Amino acid sequence: MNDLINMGMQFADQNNPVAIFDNLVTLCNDIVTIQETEITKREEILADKAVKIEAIRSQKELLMEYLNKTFDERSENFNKFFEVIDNAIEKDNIQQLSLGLDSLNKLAAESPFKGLADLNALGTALDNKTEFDF
Amino acid sequence: MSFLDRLKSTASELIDKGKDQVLSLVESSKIEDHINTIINTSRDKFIKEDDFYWVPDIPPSKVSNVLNSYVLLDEDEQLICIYDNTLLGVVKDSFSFSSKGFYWRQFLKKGKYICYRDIHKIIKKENELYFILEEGSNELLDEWKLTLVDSQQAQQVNELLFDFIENSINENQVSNTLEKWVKTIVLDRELTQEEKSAKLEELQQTLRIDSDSWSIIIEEIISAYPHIRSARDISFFSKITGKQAILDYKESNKIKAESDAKYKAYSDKTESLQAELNSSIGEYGRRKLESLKRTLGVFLSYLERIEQKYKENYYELMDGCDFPKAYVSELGQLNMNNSELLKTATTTGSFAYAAVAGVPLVVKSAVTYLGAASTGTSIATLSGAASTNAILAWLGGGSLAAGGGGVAAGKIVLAGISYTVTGIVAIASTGLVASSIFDTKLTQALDYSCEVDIACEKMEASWVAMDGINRRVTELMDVTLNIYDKCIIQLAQLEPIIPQFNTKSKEHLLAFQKTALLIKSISELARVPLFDDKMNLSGESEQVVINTRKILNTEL
Repeated sequence: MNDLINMGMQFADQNNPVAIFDNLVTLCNDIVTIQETEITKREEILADKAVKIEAIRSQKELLMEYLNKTFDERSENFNKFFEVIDNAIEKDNIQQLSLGLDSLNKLAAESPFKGLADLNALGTALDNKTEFDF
Repeated sequence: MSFLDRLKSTASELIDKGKDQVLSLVESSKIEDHINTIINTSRDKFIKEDDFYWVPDIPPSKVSNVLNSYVLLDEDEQLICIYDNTLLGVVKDSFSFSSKGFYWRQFLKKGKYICYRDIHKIIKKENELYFILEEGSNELLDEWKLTLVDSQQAQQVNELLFDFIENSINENQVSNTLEKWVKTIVLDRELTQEEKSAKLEELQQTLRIDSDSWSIIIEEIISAYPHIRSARDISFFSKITGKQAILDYKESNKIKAESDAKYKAYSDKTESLQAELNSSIGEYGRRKLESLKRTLGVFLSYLERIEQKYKENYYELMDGCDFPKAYVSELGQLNMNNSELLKTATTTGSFAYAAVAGVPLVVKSAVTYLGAASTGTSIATLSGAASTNAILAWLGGGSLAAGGGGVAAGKIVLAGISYTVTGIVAIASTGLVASSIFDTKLTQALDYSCEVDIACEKMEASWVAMDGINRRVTELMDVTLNIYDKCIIQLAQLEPIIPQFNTKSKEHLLAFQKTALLIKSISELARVPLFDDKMNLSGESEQVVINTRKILNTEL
């Protein structure tokens, strides 16, 4: 763009028709070249953008779905453990209390995002055509 | 106004005028060049005795005769050749060749004129010449008939007319010539600038056209130029001014401004969400510490009292409650960084230790108690680095953090004390905010806006991730507070029996065991990190953490 503007400025400053036309023809050539280059470049930019945005949105949707399902499931499990714990406390059942608290703590310690890392690893493995051994 | 704008605004006004001016200049200049050619090649066909007169030797009287009778010259028109057989002042047949056309007058008839470029064909019949003006027509009209002296003269005049017609310049020839020339120049990319300039100068001097008219001509020619037209179906100047993305800085700036506004909005929201998340994590850490003080701190004081009294079966007691020895000895190995002794107390409830013991607890093991009941000072104020470090060090004794235990590990576990750690947590969990957001090379509006769009899309994805972290924080907070409530209840039940604790009493043991298990649970919950060891959602390498930390701390 700067080259074109500079060339235009040169036009304005020239009183010599020979130079004016010479610059005009040069500009004409440059315009055609630049047009073709810019159009190609823009198409590439738009195509690249579409690909990247699609990839990002896919990841985002996967993450959203995964988190919703994971936390819903965990919440349900925590509620069940608390029922067991409350029942154990009420009935003075030390063994049941110990088991209930132990399960609760294990679930709490387990990262809800662990599955996502596994999904990513699986996805990478699929992309890399890893041979699975069952 | 720029050159291009000036040209565009005046083109429509000057186009016709310029073209006529060009054509007339071209005609005159070309004819001048060719007059000599015509004279040199045709003159010998006629001699003065045949009453033919050629420039520059036309007698003024003859010039006067023809001008007064049938020849009407334009300003830029000149006589070249005259045939005048006026005798003794009586004009008979006469004809004249000018730079533009052919004039003739027959005896007792009116003068006639025909432009060279209007003559399509000449048909000779004996001593008569018929001018055909329509292409494809052979109709001989008296209106366009020239009668000569004899067949020989008719032949001579016919040949002379042919010379003039052939050398006359018409509008098509002008445009064809220029177009051909322009085409050569534009297509020929091998020509250097100097060679192009030489060709231009030559033509410009030949045509003697002023710069304004010349520019207009070139506009017309290039706009109809097949190469450009077939390539893009546009005219030269309109395309230049119409190329917003390239030449219109205003439009580019507008696009950039819009992109900037969008990016700022997204960035502001991202920062706001990060701040909320950081606050949430910080609040969780504070609540967790608070819970530990009010539960674990109190319980450990009870343990100490029981240990003092029942030292021999203390560990049996602890074993029975599934409190491993290592757990307790771990407490004993912590080093206190300051000698200040703090009380363990609660501001509410019926089990304030101070009320039972009456004196501040002296901690002989390496566990620190934080409290403020006696002094009324807020916990936050008391939680100086030295006091907090003990608890943090104890918490960091697990297998959570890289690098082992100690205060640093404890900080990571709590994840609410240090902003740096919180920032790492908040950003590392996204895995989607890449450094390409801060692409510094956005020179074109579209490229810039596309970069911004991609960056904003990534930020949107990071919002989902941050929401996930928030939900994790909420989850741990809820579980911790639930266990905390149970601990408080059990501690309240245990407290009254501590002074008279009887290891033989089933009721005492049951109360102690229930409390101990819940205390153990809450202390283990306090060690649970928000994330796994890698502290990110996607399982990527630490590089993500480092990069995003940079982004968070310096640029967002």
